[in-house]
Amino acid sequence: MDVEENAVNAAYLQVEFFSNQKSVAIPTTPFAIPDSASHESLNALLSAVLEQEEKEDGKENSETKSTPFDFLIDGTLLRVPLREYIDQRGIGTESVIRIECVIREPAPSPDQDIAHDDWISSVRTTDRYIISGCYDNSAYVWSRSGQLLASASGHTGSVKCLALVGNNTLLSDKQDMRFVTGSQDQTLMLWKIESEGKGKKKLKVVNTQLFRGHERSVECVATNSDGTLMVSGSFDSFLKVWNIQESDESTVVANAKKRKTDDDQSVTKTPMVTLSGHRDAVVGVCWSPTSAKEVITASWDHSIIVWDLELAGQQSSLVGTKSFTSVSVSPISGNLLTGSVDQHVRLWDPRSKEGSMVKQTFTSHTGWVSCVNWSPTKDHLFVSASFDKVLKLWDTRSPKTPLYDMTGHSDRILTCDWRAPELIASGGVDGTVKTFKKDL
Amino acid sequence: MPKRRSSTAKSTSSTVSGENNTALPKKEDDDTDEDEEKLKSRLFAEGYDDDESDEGDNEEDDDEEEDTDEDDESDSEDDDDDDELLRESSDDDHDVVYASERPSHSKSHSRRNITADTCDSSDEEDLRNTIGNIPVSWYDDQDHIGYDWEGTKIGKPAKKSEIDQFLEKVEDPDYWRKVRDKQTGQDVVLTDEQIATLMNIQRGRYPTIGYNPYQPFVDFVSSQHEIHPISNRPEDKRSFVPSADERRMVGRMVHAIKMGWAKPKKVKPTDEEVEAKRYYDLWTAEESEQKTKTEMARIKMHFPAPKVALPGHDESYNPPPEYLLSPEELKRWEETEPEDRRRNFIPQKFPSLREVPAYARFINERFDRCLDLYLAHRQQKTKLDVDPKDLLPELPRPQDLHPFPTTLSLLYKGHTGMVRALSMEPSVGQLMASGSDDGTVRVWEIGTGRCVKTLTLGAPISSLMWCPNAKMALVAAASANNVFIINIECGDRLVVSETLTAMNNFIENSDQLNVAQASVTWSTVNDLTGSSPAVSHLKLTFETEIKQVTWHAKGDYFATVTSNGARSVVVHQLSKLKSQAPFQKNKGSVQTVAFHQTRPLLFVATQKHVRVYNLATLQLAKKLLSNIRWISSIAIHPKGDNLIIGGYDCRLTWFDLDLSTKPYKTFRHHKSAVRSVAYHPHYPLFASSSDDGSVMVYHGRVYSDLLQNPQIVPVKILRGHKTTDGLCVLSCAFHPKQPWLVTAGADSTLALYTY
Repeated sequence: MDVEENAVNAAYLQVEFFSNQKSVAIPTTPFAIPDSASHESLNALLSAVLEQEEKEDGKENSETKSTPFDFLIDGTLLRVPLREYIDQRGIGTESVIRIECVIREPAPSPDQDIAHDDWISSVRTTDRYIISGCYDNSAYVWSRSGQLLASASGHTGSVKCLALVGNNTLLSDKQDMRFVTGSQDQTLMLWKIESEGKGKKKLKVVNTQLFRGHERSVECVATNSDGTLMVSGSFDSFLKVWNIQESDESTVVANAKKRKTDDDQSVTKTPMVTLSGHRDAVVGVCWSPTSAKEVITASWDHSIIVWDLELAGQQSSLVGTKSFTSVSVSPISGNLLTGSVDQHVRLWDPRSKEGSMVKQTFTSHTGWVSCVNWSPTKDHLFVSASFDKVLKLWDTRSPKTPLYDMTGHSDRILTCDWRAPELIASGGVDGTVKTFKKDL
Repeated sequence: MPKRRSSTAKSTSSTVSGENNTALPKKEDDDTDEDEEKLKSRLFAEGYDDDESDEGDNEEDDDEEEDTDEDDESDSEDDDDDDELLRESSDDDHDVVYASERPSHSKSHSRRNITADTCDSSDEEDLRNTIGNIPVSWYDDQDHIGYDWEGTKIGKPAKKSEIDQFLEKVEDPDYWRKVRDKQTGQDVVLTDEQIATLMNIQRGRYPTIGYNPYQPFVDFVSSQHEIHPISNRPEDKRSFVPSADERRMVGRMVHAIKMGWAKPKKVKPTDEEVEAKRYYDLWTAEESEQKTKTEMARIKMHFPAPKVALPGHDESYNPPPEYLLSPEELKRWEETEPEDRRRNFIPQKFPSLREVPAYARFINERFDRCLDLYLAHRQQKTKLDVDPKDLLPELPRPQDLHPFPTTLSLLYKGHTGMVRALSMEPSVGQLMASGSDDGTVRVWEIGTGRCVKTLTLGAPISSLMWCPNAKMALVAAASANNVFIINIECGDRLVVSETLTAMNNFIENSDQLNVAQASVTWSTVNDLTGSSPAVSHLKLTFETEIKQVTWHAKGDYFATVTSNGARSVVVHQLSKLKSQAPFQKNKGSVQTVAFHQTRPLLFVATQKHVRVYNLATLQLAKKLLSNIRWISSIAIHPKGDNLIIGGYDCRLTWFDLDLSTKPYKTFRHHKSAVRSVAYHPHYPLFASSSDDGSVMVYHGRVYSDLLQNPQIVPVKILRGHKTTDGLCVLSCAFHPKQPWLVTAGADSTLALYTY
């Protein structure tokens, strides 16, 4: 084969391909390949082999021919030439190296580029909209094709964080989508996206609830999956739990001054519980996917705390060495990803009690990691946004090299999102929300 | 002859057949028969069947007894050359042997003999001859040798003739080991063991065969401390009951002492004491006297004379001829100067050692040596053997001193002129303010780099400080001749509104507004660009340009420094809108001032010195003499006992106020003027920024233990700004909570360094 012809002088290694994916049938015969082979040349070899097999079988299948593979050796993605990989890990060259073939993650393709007037502090993708929080005190609702559908203005400070209420995939078409925004003006607002008029294009965003109680700018917010509770972290180092049910009256401030005179039906609410424990700004919060009462927060005081909302206290805490900037909990495995004020993304297992708390460190960024997000569907993929203007798509099996770098931002990226499985969005200081389509 | 033979045969073997067997009983004496019987009974018990014929022999025995005994008697008297020694000894020791071990009869019959011996005892055999313990020689004249148990005489055994003896000697292989038993007159063949015993005695060894005199020693009372008692016996009652006898004895003794009967024993003087009385030791007194310093020095400073080289061949009295000097060599030797001579003597040859004369120069050399020692006595030099590395202080590794800022993380861009002033929001640390030559004050969000607010003051801002009181959102900014107390309207809304009302209260309640006081005029400003119009700020107008403005830690007082001669330092009170110049006359041009965080102290830095004034008593508390030629900035440690001063002559000094008025440490790490210095509020960190573009970060740990000096380790050099017009990093400040450092540069940016 041409791979072998190219490198005559190189040493040869015995490799054997296998795959756990049913759609791929790979011959189990071992190959001798030069050790200078990279994953690209392995790909070429494999596709040639598959092609030959198909010819022998007498059927033409153009799909498998073009399918690129990724190669895993001992659960780690091969991203460097084979020789280097073997030297790094001290694998013997005498034995047959078993290489697992997986179909390569398709590259995300740039989709929309939505310009704003000011910095983007937060962005959320849903199956219907893209919602962005902006430093110009507003949140914007965009269609997936990048058209402004509605804007939510009401805050008197920059919108710093944004969260969708409940699990919006369960929403039927008739139900209105809701989201909350947290702002530098120390309040949170719950918004309802209502369709205005007949056309679906026209939307109206209505503020239904206002949450007051934080003493500094609200930095992060999250809601539980059934849309009844919300937690928000702020620079005042407190975590506050709010009841966001419309039927709830217990936390409503009766004599709240109406801030606006026009048709504002919003009610003002106070927190149900204030949780103190952090010693510095709470910058990341997410609801545990496994337990409805568990909330995970990350703070500038170098700690991650798992809170038990039923007990209104700390359940456990993980201590790092750097201030955190964001936290994301995997909906599948329950592992935590954190970005911190250095260039590393760290993977934590909150359940492990002994040994190193940090399971893995992903190093490729050159600036602060401002935001991390797990893939909603695959337990080994995630995106990270950084101040180095690059958004990276990672595979947990490849800690040194990300799968894809998504460039395009001209300044620091402050936020990214991958809530909708097929859409990655990012926004930052350059005032644009960039979306990337990700084939499943 | 046959009898004798048979007897020997019997003694050799009991298994001989026919004739011998019948003859055997006759030769046997009682002794052996009894043995036989005993043996038999034992053997029967063991299931061994013996010859029956022995049974009836006892009666016939007596007849023959005498003969054999006599024979043996004579036998024993003869000396044979072969076994002379043995026989002699056996004769002599006969009684001993007899008493200890009964001789057995056959060497070849070892089994029988051994059993016979072991089951026999000397008591029983004494029964046979009852004469008792008297010499047998008393019976020499009698024809019997004693009496048996029943009292009948025991006849002497027949004496053997010379020929018989000879024949026996020749024929009997056991002849040499035969011994005559004098009491019975019988010949006794000694067993191997008996012979071995005799041999041992002869050679002076232990007679018992196999006796080991060196038995393994069992150390019952060992030095080892045993945890268990040797015996399990409970302790005696008397061991814990006081002894009545002793009590009585002691009582008697006590009584004797009381009555004066008991007198102490006179101590006999020892020999030494007697000696000492007799003779007077001339030297003891001298020794016991206290030694003078020089004497002690001599003793202490003893050091051996240098080693003399071993003599060579040429120093011999009889050197080999090649060592002797030839006439030419001798001539040359004489010509050379004494100092230059290779050796200071001429090798000489003497026929014998006897003829070597006395050394002629002995007295001279000895005198020279003494003169040397007197004139130039040897002095001990204490050699300083110090490793230069040991002199260096042991600094911890910078890796162990984490966290400290290491990497440039963010640049805050927005200013258009040099950023001269920088201040962090106290306690929370979300925001910071910076003042620039472009006349603006900008408020930044530290974490994102967002410029939250821009206020235009018009003139370049030389100094700026956020009010340390967390309940007041105020920033004091010095711009040209004015100081603005700006209600910054950032942060906690509650604080902002409280600040607003407080400011309004101050303004309303004060009658000092727009009145010149201490060359300062207070006024209100409402139209600050970038601020909401409803908010009023305060403005203090001075006659000259303001160098610095600084707050007291409580946030009510603040001080300004102008270049206005005597009244350069003015202290203001915000709540009363009052200003006063505390000093009538200043010693020099004041560079910068600083308030102590907790105590009422004001640090006033002139060009070379820092004067510490007590504001309560209005007196000079201390004057710190820095080595700096021109002080640029000072910072006071949050604990209040330490101080760092930066100077335009590249120096940075650390003062420990408790220690001295002189610097504890001086650093010259910067290559250009130090522009600003800062302490971290919590972490043991401080930093200095300089015009050479670098920021030095130091680890400066202050111990609460007064005896321990501060530990100062330079840990990091940070670079991130570009030099503009010879200026670079103009200001630096630490984040109030994180180990982060923000620097303001002449290149109109601010930089955040994190770790």
